[in-house]
Amino acid sequence: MDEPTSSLTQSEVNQLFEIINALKNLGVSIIYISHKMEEILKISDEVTIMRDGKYIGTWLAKELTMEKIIKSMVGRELVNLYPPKTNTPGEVSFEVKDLTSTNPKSFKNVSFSTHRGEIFGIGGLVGAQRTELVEGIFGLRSIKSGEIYLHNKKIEIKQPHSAVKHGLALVTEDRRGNGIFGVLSVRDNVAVASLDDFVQFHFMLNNAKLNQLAETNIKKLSIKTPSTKTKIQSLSGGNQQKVIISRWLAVNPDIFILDEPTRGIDVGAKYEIYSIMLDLANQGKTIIMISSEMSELLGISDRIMVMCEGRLSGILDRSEANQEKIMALATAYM
Amino acid sequence: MKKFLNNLKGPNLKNTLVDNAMYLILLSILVLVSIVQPLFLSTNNLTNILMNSSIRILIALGVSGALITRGTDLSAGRIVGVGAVIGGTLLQRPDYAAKFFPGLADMPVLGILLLAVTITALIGLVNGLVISYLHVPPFIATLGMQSILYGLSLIYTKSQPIGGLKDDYTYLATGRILNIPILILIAIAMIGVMWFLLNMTKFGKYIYAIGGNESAAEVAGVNIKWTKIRVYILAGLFYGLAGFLLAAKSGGATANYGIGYELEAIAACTIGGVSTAGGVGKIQGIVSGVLVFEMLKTSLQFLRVPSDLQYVAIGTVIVIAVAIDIRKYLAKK
Amino acid sequence: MKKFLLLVALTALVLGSFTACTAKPKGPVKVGIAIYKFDDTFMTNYRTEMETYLKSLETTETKYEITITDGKNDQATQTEQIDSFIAQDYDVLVINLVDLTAAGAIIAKVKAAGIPTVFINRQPSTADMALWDKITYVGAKAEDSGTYQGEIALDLWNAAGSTMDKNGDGILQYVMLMGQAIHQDAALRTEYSIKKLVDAGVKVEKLFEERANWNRDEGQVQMASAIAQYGDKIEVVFGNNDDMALGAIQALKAATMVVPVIGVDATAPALDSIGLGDLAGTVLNDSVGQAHTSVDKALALLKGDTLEKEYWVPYVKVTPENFEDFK
Repeated sequence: MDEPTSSLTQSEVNQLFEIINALKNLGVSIIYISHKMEEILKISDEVTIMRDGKYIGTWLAKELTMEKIIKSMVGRELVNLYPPKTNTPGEVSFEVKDLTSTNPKSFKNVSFSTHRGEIFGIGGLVGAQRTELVEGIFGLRSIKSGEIYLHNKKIEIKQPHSAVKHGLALVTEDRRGNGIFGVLSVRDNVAVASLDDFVQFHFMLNNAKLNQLAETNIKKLSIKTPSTKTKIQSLSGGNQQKVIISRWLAVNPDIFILDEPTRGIDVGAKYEIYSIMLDLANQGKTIIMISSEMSELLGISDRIMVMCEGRLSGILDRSEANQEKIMALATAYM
Repeated sequence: MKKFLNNLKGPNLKNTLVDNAMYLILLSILVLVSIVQPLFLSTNNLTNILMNSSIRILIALGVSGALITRGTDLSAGRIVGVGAVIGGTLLQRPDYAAKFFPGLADMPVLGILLLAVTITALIGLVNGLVISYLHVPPFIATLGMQSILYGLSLIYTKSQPIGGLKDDYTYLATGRILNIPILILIAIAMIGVMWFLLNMTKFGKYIYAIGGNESAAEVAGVNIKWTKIRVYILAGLFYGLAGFLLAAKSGGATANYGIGYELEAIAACTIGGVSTAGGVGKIQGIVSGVLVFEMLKTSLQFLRVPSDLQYVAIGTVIVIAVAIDIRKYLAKK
Repeated sequence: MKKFLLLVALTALVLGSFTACTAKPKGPVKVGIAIYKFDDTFMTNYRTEMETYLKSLETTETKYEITITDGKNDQATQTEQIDSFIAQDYDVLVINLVDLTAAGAIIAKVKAAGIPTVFINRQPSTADMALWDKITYVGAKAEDSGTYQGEIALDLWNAAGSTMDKNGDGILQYVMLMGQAIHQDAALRTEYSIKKLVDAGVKVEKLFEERANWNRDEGQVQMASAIAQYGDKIEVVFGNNDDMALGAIQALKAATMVVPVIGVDATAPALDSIGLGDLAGTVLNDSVGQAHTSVDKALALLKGDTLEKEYWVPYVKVTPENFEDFK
């Protein structure tokens, strides 16, 4: 089983574990791949850890602790899972009023506003229509009604390239589906959204500068790749995600939307991505992050908006948010 | 080159052979036929092959954009025919007895060339609009266009063959500059143009992005509709030029010039490494794909293979070449 | 009273229908013409002439409704078109078959429907033609077109002070450019052009024989290849049609070679080429004469005349001496 619980609710995860235990009793051997350390400790008898394609070791589950796992996966001590929050939200940067999808089963009457320098989390269960909401904002899905305001000015976004021109960026949930260009190089994956900046003499691309852009980002984000010419499909998930993030960094957006940015990524790379997000917030950008991991939402968001069945069920401030409140809002309309 | 020779040593030999299968096949054909028929290597024959290839390369370059974006263009051959017919009917000798437009003034060759490629570029525009805005799959859109153009060509030419072309028009195909045939120079220039477009412009990068992952291209802000339209306009331009030169080369034109040429062009591109999965394709691959084809056709003749068997041979080589080439993309999973 | 009126109405209806039956309204004569494919220059001239001629024969009482279909070189397509003619009750058909082996089946259909038919340009077998008496064939003997080609070459070979035998070995070295494989004309012209020479006692040597599929551009490509292989050895070039012959001339010019080239069809570009001194000669496939004859025979069949099984319209040899007559 390869990451079997990424789209399951807690009760569904419990059901899965019951099935696994039943199979175990029948004598079936189960190989369970996951990056969720609590799960691994809960369900496994033996744990094997790999890092960067290398085999690190095998331990009995009962002899392992979270810290030991993290240390093996990352190769060093990781004291904090999340970087310290040093950002201070400022004035309103982006606002959505009564956004409703043309699909009656999708998002309905969603309104919220975000601030400069803020990390705005969006929580909820699978099926809450969060991805659909940000796709609607970005021009990938059609909107029936509602308004979008950028820096207090009303804007219309009918297609993604319009959204990009307005200064929005979207790191999608499905890396392989609509994130990476598998057969293209790392360099081309980084540069594709910002080519306008590299044109000289009206239409000629400066390939040397494109290479430079890729090299700079590889260093800045610690992307592990043999060269800028390597095909991105041979990189690990975490590194691919960093390439996509640097693609958007290159367009210098004001509103940075990330949909499940650390899904399927190891704990070390996660920290690096959180650091990037905080860095951007410190520069005055707005980060909107959809996540299904409670600890992640609680770990770095300034405010958390929770959706349920396409409706907005509530917005919690960091100071008052906790797991129970988020879960309650996530199931409010079910 | 050095890397190539280095790779010939050791366990990399197999991979090197597979990666460069196309060039090796090219070489093998050359060697085999020259042994049996030394005249194959004569300047005359090699020039013929390059001349025939020049026209075919223009068509292959034109269709490559469509292929890289995971589309196709089945109207290529007919658009070639349109280019030929426009050139042929408007550039006839003034004293030609069966002149198509009797009393037509003497027209400048370059002027008519511009007219021909403008018309074929517009045809490409229609293809692009139908594919981008009406969302008709490229296969169907261009297949329909193929049929429409055929009917229009028949009506325009009244099914009559066109001949009696002006000398300064046929000169394009017989003349030389610095002893290199003009046709070949034109082909080289257009190869340069296409190389530049694909490698040194935003347009080129967007073509590969759309082919590599159209949904990701959409999210990344690429204007997919407009890029695809430009791909088909550019294609129409290349086909029109090819047709115009084809008429000059054969001294005449008919409504069925270019029939089926798209299949050879697409096969040559595929042999040359343009992946059917999209997002992949290099100019040098396309050019060598066309050369392999033309060399193959000529060598079969030099080897005195009966013409009916030639079809079998060509089909077999295409399948084998693509099967070897496609391993490049399968193995790296 | 009501019943009486009903009886009158019914009687009127019945009597009326009788008269309607006997007084058949005279509509136009429906003529169906099935051509093997439209983008064939010769057949285009043929069918255009048939239409013009038929229209010229119209009178105030007799009108012709003509439908011409394009078989697109596919027998299945053509058979469907013929079925359609039959279903629509056409009066007479003129058929230019795509595939001669389909003749038997087609003749059975028209016989069953009772529609007289003239076959043109491609002749069904004697066995097939014997299946019914209301069919006939109008054509030109393809062998003759080849023979005339051979005659043109023979005259050049035997002419006083002829320079045709470049290497002086007494053998005529030739290049043959052939039409499409399945077309009987191609094979017949290939065979009979050479046969004429051989029968007249000329020794011949085949240097190069390839298909250019009736196309000018393919003719150029094949000839260029022949030149690359045989160069000056080539003494004469035969093309199964003018388009290929003209393509060959293009290749010869590019190689600055002058060799007699002989075609078939006498198309406008070919006649022009003779005028320029490039094409040595061609053979007129008399599309006008054949068109008139087939229309005449079709109308004769309609009238109920008994006809022969075949009618031949002769080819005409076209050389620099008489080519002006055909322009």
